[in-house]
Amino acid sequence: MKRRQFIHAATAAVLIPVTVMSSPAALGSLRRKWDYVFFDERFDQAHRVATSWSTLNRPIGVRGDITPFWSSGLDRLAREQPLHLRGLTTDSFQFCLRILLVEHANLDARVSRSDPNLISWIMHTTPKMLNMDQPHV
Amino acid sequence: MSEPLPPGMNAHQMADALERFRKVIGGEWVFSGEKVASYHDPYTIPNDPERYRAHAAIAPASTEQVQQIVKIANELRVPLWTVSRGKNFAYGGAAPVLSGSVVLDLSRMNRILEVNEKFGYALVEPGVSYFDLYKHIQEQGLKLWLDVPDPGWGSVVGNALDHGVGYTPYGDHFGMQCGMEVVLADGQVVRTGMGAMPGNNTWQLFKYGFGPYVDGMFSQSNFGIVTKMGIWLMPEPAGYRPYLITFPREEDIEQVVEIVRPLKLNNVIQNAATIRSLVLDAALFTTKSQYYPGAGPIPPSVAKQIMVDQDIGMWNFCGALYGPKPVTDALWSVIRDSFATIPGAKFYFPEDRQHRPDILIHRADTMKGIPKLTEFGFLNWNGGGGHVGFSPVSPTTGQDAIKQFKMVSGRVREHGFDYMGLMAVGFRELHHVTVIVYDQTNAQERQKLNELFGLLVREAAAEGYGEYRTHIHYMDTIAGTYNWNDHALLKMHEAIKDALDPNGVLSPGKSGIWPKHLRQGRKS
Repeated sequence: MKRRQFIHAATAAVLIPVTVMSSPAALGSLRRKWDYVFFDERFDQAHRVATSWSTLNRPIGVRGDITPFWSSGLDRLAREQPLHLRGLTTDSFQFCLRILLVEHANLDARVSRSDPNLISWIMHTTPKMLNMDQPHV
Repeated sequence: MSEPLPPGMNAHQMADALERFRKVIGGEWVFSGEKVASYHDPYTIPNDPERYRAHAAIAPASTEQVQQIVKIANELRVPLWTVSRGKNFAYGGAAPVLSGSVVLDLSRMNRILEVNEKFGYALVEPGVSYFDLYKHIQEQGLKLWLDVPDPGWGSVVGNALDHGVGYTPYGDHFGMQCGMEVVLADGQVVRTGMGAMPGNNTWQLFKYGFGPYVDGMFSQSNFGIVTKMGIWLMPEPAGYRPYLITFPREEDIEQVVEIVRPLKLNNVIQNAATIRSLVLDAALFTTKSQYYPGAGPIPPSVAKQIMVDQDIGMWNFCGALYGPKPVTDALWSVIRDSFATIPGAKFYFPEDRQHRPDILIHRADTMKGIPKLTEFGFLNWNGGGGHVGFSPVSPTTGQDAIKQFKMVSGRVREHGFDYMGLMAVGFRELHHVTVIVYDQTNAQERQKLNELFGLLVREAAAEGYGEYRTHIHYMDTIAGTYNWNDHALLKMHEAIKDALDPNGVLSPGKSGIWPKHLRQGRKS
């Protein structure tokens, strides 16, 4: 899919609500600056599209696996502050991130399939109460 | 869609029950309406949206709260579906077998009560994940290793109770369990083994205590709610050397397994090693469309190309050596010489691997107990993201391995899927886990998957092969295959169920065990 077509598709009403909560509308949130943008670096299209999104931090290239990003700080951030995330990644990255975020934060997630390999998604989080998920001895 | 009610309850009665639960645990920990969505099975199989749906979920914080909840549930006849962390994906996640159940979510009970370096064990609550326990051990600088299943976000307690496996020498998770605290259906709390003796200091050291050993009754069952569990941890070894051996032909599995058996029985292969198929390993890091645009399973020519590109085999044996170097050197020489008899076998250590990402580099973490989520990469193979596991147990013989492989891979490919399987090496048996990746958004594909799964179960059972674990959709089916002597084992399970949980409030339908009032007509 060409870049213009993709952006058109993403901003049209094709976003599938995964968890629908009282939250900013998807269209409005697409115009914001994202805290983090993820793209699957194995696919040129993902790289092209993700670098066109407005983000506070450099877009992060991934290869399907959330593990290194989650355990190196994203888990802490999700507990401490609202996050506005966007990505064009494979199923596994999107699925795992969504499940992990739900444990730590209230989540508004919207996903749409871009092609057989890639999922376009946005996720907005607000931290849950802090005593929920801190294991302790 | 409104959330379903369980049989025998109306909306008013359920509302009353939820109000009573709120008074025990606080309103913020009783979830209903849209908040129940996170308890649905993300990989649902049937096309009927009414099946396997919870009415609500409740999240207590202590054993005392669990006791009060089960007392209320008994009084009002509310079916509770217990999950530790609800991450049993591909087996139903947090979803109940009986629609309308209230999910009893123990994820808030996440205390690591003790980690003992001297004796190598931990005592944990059900909400503790592998990530949590690993992080704690690292932060404390303890010389202990975990044994982790492929996804690290699951519950240490829940995985052991569901007979999950890992990949170090401590890979049999329920085998490494020692001592439980259990809340029974009447609210009574029991401690098993040495924990039954006040003041005893061997609860996590000796399993059996005195009298009947009952811990197994609470695994894959609905006889009680486990609220604490001891788990043995492996002392950090003096050395660690992961390795990969690749084999070029599908039919090599027969000889590979014949070689594995004596090596494992004699502890030359120390860990719960795995023999993994080509597409399973390729799918972790690549997608099908990168190699093959067509429908259906990949043809042999594409398989060969993947082998070349990723420097892997049609089968890939991932193992590891643990201990001082003279010991691991000696073990390796035996392992290498044994497998070198198979034409085309190739041997690798991590430093030999040139590609990134790479299967051995990834598995090297898992085989030393580092929790990850990397294995979910196989979801990307087809697009569509659904998966389910078919997991029959096989004796460790080449004859059984090739027979199972041909049976399963043949049917899987006939139905248009790629064979993505692994054989996890136990001491005397193989867990033959086949992952079927399907498009969960496609109703026709889910129907095709369902037909395939039923066929696999029937054909395996006809040959005497049984599944060790299954998705909630197939629990009755699998339980029905363990039917020697007119279902004598299931009848015993039901007798225990009736004695311990006469009102049938604990996880109805778990492992095919139903309470008396829901049992009629199911045993067919």
